[in-house]
Amino acid sequence: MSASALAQSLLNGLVSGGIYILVALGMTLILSITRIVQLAHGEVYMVGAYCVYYLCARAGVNFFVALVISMLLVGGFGILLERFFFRPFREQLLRPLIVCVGLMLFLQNAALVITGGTPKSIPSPFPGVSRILGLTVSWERLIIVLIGLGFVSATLLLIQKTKVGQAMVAISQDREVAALQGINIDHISAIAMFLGSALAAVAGGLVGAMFSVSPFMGGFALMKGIAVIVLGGLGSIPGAVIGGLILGLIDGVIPPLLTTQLAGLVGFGAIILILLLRPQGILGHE
Amino acid sequence: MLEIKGLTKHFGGLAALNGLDLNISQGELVALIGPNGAGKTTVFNLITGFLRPTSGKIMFVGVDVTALKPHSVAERGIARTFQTASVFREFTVLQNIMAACQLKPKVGFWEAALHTPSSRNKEKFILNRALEIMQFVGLGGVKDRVAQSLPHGHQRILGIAIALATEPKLLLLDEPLSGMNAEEVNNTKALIHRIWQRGITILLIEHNMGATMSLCQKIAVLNFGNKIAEGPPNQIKQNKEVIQAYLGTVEYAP
Amino acid sequence: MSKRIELTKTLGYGALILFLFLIPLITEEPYTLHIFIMIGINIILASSLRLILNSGQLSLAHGGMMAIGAYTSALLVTKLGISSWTALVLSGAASSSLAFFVGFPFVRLKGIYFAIITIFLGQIIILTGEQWESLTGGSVGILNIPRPDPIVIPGLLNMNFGSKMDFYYFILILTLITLLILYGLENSRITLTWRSIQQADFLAESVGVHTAKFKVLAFSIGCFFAGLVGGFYSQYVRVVSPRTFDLSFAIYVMVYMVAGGMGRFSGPILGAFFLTGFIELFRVLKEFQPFVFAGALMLIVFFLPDGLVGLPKRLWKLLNMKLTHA
Repeated sequence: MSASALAQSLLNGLVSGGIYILVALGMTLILSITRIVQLAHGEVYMVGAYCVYYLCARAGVNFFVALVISMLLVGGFGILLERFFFRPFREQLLRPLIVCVGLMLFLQNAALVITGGTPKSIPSPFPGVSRILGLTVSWERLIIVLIGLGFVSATLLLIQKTKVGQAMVAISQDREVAALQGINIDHISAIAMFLGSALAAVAGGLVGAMFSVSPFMGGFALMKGIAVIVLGGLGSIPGAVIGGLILGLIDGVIPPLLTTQLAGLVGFGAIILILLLRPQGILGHE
Repeated sequence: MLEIKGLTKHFGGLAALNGLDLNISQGELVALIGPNGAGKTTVFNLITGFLRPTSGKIMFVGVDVTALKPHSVAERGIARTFQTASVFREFTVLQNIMAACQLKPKVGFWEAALHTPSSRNKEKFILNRALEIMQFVGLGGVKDRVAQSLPHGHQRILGIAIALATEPKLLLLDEPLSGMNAEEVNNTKALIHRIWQRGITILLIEHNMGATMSLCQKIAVLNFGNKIAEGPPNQIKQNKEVIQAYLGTVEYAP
Repeated sequence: MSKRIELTKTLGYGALILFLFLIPLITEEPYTLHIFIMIGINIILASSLRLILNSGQLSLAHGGMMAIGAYTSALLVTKLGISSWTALVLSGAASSSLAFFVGFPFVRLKGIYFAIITIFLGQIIILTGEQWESLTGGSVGILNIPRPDPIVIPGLLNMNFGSKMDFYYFILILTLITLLILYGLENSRITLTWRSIQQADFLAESVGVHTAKFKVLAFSIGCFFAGLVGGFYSQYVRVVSPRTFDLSFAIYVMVYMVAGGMGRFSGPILGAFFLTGFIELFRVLKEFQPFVFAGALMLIVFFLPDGLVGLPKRLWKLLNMKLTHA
């Protein structure tokens, strides 16, 4: 494989990795604070993508502005979900899963009925290519990596530096102790859902710009999100970042490198091997 | 019977237990006391295999049990109670004890699955044993009550019954008297005494000083992961270091 | 329990089973028989899932495990010409072997983390099915799977599986055998041990239970039946493709179990029976069916905490309240 092809693959890997991290980070935030596997996270991502599409392609809003609006809307939607669908089943294992399946079905089919189902494309906000280090790189990909990086960094900073973020860490480590220390679990859960859903919306919008928007695009995001959190460490926020990066790079580099049938499986296969030795993932705690 | 040598446990940078040496002979009734956080439950967890020591050795009846998993430790003859979640909440009292009768006799998978005559005989035996233990600990009257619905004191006693079901040689009791009123304390003290009279060696963690002093022949005191004293009760009562360790805590009551 | 009640119960079940054997003679409508066959499949899936849950683990790999069984049977029969009956048993064995293989590392995880890792396991299985085209036929899958080998007892029986009726009896017997085995386990010390692990695994461990071994045992046995029914499925539908067995499928199995009630042995049976029927009934609604189903899920989750088995009790309570306030 030539150097430029390799570099291209790496960039693709970074782009994928960025998207995976955005999705997985959101899932991990929600998981570690509400203890719920948000199986409808893919649908939240899809709703975010459609928001950006309608704002951009139909209402002519600037892409970045659309992204932000979508974040706020979907984040708010997340808060509603938490309040009415997840909170009643806190501390339970099975019922929240069923609720998520119900939401998943509802949102997928609502999108199908409302939009008609054919994939739509968000007009590319950054047309054209640039030459960096002798490689031809599309502006779009480049800027998407940067946007992704930006949001991930902002989220990590928020968690590290703010009181709210520290409260989240406390809850994710030991819920009872956190409650005893006076942390308001309800408030923080709502914020976690807001953040997690907003990140999913950003991911959806970015993917919609790079590829397309369709009612069933969420399944792929959920699958990758789960793979990342399982690899990076269940309940670990830095794990989501590391896992996303690793999986993204594998998915970017391996398939072009090995043209065998099973190239697409290498990523998942590697994860399973790691899990057999360390089931809790790279940074997970048992 | 139980020889602990240099037992140490570090959690990250914190030394929860620092080189503990402790010997317990067969038939003794020993207490492990100390302020909260001194490392007492850690000792129990290490002995019973729920935690792995950072260094040190635990020998039981001449066998090295340091690295054994909890179920193997139970097979060797060491049983314990737990402070929290001490019973199977959804089972009845009788079911609790029957579920705990796993070791003697052992019922194999196939004989249980196929309900063979031999397994049915074993179940009959287990039922009788469970009833006997239930009577012995004084829970005969609540045989079919769901464990969750029992008052706290009864639950702790059920926890002791569960431990007895394994026919242990050494019984570790983790704060058996905590949360009990005066009457329950007396009943449980009597129970512990009865267990001891049956020849079972006992090591217990307790904060109730009065009960501990009157029950035990030997007391070991831990503070901040170190053993600071060991000896008969009247010696410990007057030990300056022990008094200092407890000074400032509300627990100490002579 | 008094002897008379026991006798009545046994007679009741006997009558029910007799009735089940007579159904194809009452209605020859293939669609109705198909629904019953699906009910049978779902009963086996939901009940075996409950067995795993009894040991304190929620497995969402049941779709993947069924896929393993389906593909195993399909491949053994189409590529190696093995008898469909042998293939059926090997389907169960394949799934339970996989469960055993990943079991010991996986059961170190508790609660939701175990569930998540089983989701991942299921996904890998589906992905492998989609990508390993030379083996599995990719997304299209394996087609034209032959019918099961005929059962011929000269003069008495000639089942060549050309009609739905033959498959109905096939799944009926399979379901009865499965339930017999599961019921036997339910009332044995093994389930007592599993349930003790479910309630307080460290306490069980402290009385000598090798909890990891028992958890893997439950997982393997449960997955055996998922694989078994997968084998049946491949012989019945005669086509296996990966997407059939995705995560949604696994969750539906869980829904049957929860909707029926996890606390009782009969729960998953009731849940599978009513919900399978429900889904089929509402198929006419076409694109609105998912909405109705989603609504039904919400109703069950919000208003039926104990599932359908708890319904009589709830109604009784409700009735009592109304009467005392009247």
